[in-house]
Amino acid sequence: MNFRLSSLARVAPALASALTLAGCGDTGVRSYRIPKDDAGSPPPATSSTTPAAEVSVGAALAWAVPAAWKAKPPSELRKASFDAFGPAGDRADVSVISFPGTGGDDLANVNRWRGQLQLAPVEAGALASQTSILQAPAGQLVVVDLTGTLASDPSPQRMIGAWLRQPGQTWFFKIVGPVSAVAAQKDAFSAFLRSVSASGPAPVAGGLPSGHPALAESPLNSVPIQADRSSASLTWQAPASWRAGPANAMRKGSYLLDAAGSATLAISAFPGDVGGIAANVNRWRGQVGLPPLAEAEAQAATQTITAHGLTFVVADAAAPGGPRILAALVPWQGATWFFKVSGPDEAVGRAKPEFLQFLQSIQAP
Amino acid sequence: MNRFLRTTVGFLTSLRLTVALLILSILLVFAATLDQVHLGVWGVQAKYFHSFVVMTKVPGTAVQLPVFPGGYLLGLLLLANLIAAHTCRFRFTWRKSGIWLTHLGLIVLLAGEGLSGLLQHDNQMRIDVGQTRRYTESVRETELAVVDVTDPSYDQVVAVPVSLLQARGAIQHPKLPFTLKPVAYLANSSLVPLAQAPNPPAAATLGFGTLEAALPAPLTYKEDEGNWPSAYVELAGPEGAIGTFLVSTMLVEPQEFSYGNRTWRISLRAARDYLPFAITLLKFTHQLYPGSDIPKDFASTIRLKSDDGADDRQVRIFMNNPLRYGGRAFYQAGYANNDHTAVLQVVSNPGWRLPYLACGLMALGLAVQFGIHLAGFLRRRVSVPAGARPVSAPVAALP
Repeated sequence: MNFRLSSLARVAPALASALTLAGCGDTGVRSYRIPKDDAGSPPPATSSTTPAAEVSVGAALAWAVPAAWKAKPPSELRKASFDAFGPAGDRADVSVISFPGTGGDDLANVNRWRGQLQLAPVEAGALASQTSILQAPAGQLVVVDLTGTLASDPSPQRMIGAWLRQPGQTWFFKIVGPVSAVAAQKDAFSAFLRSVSASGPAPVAGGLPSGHPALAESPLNSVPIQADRSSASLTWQAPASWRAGPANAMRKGSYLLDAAGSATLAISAFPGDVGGIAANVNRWRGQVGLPPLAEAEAQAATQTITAHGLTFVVADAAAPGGPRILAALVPWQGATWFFKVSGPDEAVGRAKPEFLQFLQSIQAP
Repeated sequence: MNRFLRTTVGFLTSLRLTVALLILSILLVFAATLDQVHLGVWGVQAKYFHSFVVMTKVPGTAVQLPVFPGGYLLGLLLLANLIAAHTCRFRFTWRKSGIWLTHLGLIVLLAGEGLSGLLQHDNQMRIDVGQTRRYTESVRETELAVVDVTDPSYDQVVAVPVSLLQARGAIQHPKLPFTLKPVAYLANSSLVPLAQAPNPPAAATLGFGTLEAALPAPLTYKEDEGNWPSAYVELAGPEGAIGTFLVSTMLVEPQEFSYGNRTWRISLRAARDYLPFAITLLKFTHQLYPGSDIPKDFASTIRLKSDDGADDRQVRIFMNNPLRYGGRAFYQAGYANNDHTAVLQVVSNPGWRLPYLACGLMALGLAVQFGIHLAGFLRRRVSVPAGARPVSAPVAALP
């Protein structure tokens, strides 16, 4: 039973190989199938309140939706999604997708869609015959009209697709479905395309470069349940007309302030004073294209609102007819909380009284 | 062979080994506690305790050298030591049955901890009110997901673990008509416009990477900060390179492309674990004791619907009252988005009952052993003649 160190050397190899086997984890590639509905479920605020008519909004575009179309919840990728019906009740699918970058050249787009309808690709020379141009307030759309069959469905299908290039981003609008349904909806779809207009800064990507996709929310950006004062959050009462916006990068809260969703409120908090009042005012001015002010001027350009013992510094920066930022900052517990409304000048102006009232509802827990 | 067996048994049953292992365990805990400043709690757990050997980088090089036995090795040796010593040295008698039970409890506890370390998965489910989710996400692990979304009824997912992206080897899978070749992997990164990144780690030719570049950022181990991995992945088909994508956990939406008449989406995302049931958050309640920050009630009322139709019911998950279902425990862990989002901690641990069993066995063992001794003591008292017993307080001496 006496144990000598030299015996360790004899036992070690056997032990090591046993342990290595035990330690083998699952590091391989996994492959599985998930039902389509589960690919990503939409935020409920959007799915339940998207109007079937009126005006709907994507990240930075707005469009008028034909009243007969039925809105579907947007998915993770789709900015908007509708069902449009033919005379026999057959259904065509309308989708709006935005994609960073140029989205490939025109020929690649045409051939990609031709491929989806089992059609042979065309050469660059034939491109002009495949496409037409449609003018909308947001810019020029390139339209393609194709008929073929889907890989999953042998019956003839028609697809009318269009793309619109915006700075750093390409938007794809598509209606696809049985030939009769698409034919019946062609005029409505053309009217839909002609209504596409720029609606101001992206509601979910404020502060990010144009075309920048929405950023993920940190898994750490939630409040763990504990009686720790440092993790406490300011609380507020949002007006009933506001809709909860999509959860986003490092946001404490996010709201769409009007039916169109063109004016958005982002609530965030950062440690420290984040440069002070003048630096923040000038940053916001820069974001709407206004020149910076001297420190004293920047301070003077703000107003102060006090509510529940919190003192908010409110700044309003607007480029006439262009984007506008209406923001309030409040220092609280070593951090600075930002309440920032951004959107087109007019939309932010409309939301201003309600926003100022909203500030009054903010309080420390 | 006999000699080898004797040596092995001698090594495993040695009391010196027990003492050495306990001292090494103390040193390991001490070193890990000091290193927690640099690595954070998860980093330390992985490096010191969920490992067989503790590796350390030789300063100035990328060479890793083993410097100390890790938690698994020490735990396994302690377990082997305990079992071997019991098997070879101790003889079972009823008088010692309590000690046996207590040690069995200790063995179950060690085995349970080992199992938990190897098999436990801690995930999160972030769910908005009204939303339905059927997957949980890892807080620390990421995966490259390449999804074929062409079929209208289902998505075909191929999920590649980060370890393969770091290995930089070409990745082929029967479900993919192209090869994935990781060009660069950044464990933490920041995204900047391409114009501001003169030397990006790689050049993306498709999608978002044509606008922005990912630059490496120092890894963070702080409890309140996270790392944002990004990767450059080149896709190549039989006809040659298709293009290079920049994928990043900072991007919410996957990037879509077409290849081989099919539509694909590629993204780097938190590693997902799909469930055989769906959870819908019906209501989230968040109450504090009036005038304080002390939580009174945090509760998620959910609808649980299993795929096989066996279950469709409402469950209220609140503090210290998890939902245990399908081998997973769902705890109310936090909230976000002004009480619009509930965060559930989802723990899957096949060995979660073992610590309870171990504690029960140890308590029973101690009770049995104490009972045996007490019974023996009482028996001896009864068998000693009354006159021979010492009298503690002579009654006659009382006033």
